[in-house]
Amino acid sequence: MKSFRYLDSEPFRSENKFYHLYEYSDDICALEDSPVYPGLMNYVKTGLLTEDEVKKAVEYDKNSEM
Amino acid sequence: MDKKLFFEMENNLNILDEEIGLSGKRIFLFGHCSATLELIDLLIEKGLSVTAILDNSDSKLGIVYKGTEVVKPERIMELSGADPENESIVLITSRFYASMQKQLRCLGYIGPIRKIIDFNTYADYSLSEDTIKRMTAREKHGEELTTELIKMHGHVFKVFCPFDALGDVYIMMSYWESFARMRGITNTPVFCVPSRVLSEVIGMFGNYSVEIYEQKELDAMIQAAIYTQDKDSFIAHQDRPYVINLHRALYIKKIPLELIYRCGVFGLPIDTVPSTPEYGLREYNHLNRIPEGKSVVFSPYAKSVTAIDESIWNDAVVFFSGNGYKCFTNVAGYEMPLPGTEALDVPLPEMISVLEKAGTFIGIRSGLCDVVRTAKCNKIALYPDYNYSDTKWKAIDIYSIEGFQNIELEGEDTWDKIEKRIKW
Repeated sequence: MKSFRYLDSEPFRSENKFYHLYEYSDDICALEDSPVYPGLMNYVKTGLLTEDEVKKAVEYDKNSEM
Repeated sequence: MDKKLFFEMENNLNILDEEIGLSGKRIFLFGHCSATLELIDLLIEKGLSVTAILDNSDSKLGIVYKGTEVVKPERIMELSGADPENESIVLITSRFYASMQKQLRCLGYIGPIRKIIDFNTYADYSLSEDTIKRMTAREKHGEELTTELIKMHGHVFKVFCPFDALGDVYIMMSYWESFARMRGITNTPVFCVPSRVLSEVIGMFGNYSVEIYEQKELDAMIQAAIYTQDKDSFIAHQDRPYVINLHRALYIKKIPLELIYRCGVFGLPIDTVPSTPEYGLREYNHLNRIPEGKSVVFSPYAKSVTAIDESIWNDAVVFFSGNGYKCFTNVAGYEMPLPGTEALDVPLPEMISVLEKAGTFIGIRSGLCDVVRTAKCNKIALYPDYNYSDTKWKAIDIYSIEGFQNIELEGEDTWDKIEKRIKW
């Protein structure tokens, strides 16, 4: 199951510097508000999604379709 | 798939075949996508057959492409024979190679699993010292390239277009000015793109500076922007690279591509009106070839879309020719015109003049459809029946364009049946 981790929480914090260096895992979905690239929170700002829907989207487990 | 990647895939396949000999093996492909279908075509050309396409998505089960069926990955053990190590192989074109490999091993599959193409220079699923060292060097190279760009252009705002896709760049440009105003971006923008044809699309919207980079170099610059959080740059794409996770919203909600860019990529209000290209449009030099209002321009080719059966195109040509229309095929590079049509190889800024003279455009839904969306003529986009990426939505759900008749192909469709669904 994919894990949902906040960028600033441990144990992710110690790996955080690598998250922006390269994709070291495909098992991470980070919620960020960076001016350099788009993020899911734009959908909340523009009213397309609620915060709850963003959480559902981030936690969605495609493998559970199996 | 663009030509460079296709040749890389073909080369890798040939090397693999020489190394281990694919003939006689049960070949599985993991992940039903356009790249996989292109790989099947290559394998068939080599006289090889594919046992099955493995895919986790329920909506893809049972799809058959040239005799190969999509099945659940769990069936690998049943289908790979008594000696899978020697009798079978799994080939992967998807960028999710690592998780697919993991899944197969967890299922007990011990045969060889090979990545046949590397789409993703951003990824290496390892925290080894070697990997960190290599990726650090890559990021530093990206910073060097960015420094050179700034030396050339001065203190600019860098807009990165990570992927060679006409449609994405067209839609991106249609919202660029609104975004720049909202953000208060006053520095001159420089658009960094991976191909020359994208600079033509950008030029349709204004006299912008564009720099063209090899894909891997562009990827390195983008990584540098991410790593340094360079506030004088923006990665203007809805899906790449890995830090952009807008696509996850599609697992729970249907959001058309237009809104993905307007609201997702740029954070603009939902009622923002896109710009239209007016600056860089030109008239085609040979419009006298095209009978006004009695011509049809076909666009049957698209690099990242499942092809439509050639019989449909051929029957459409016969239909229009029989009704007194002159038929043309839009071609680029090595593409051939459909039988009974003349080839048209028109620079993108001149396409609108061609279509408005011709009167009718019929194309497979591709980025070209975005580029010509403002043409005042009859415009029909045909959608093969496939799902958008790994979501439950069909391509037509996401890619429908305003101003076009958007027609989804059904089952064993023929031109006769399609023609009846078009409003003339």
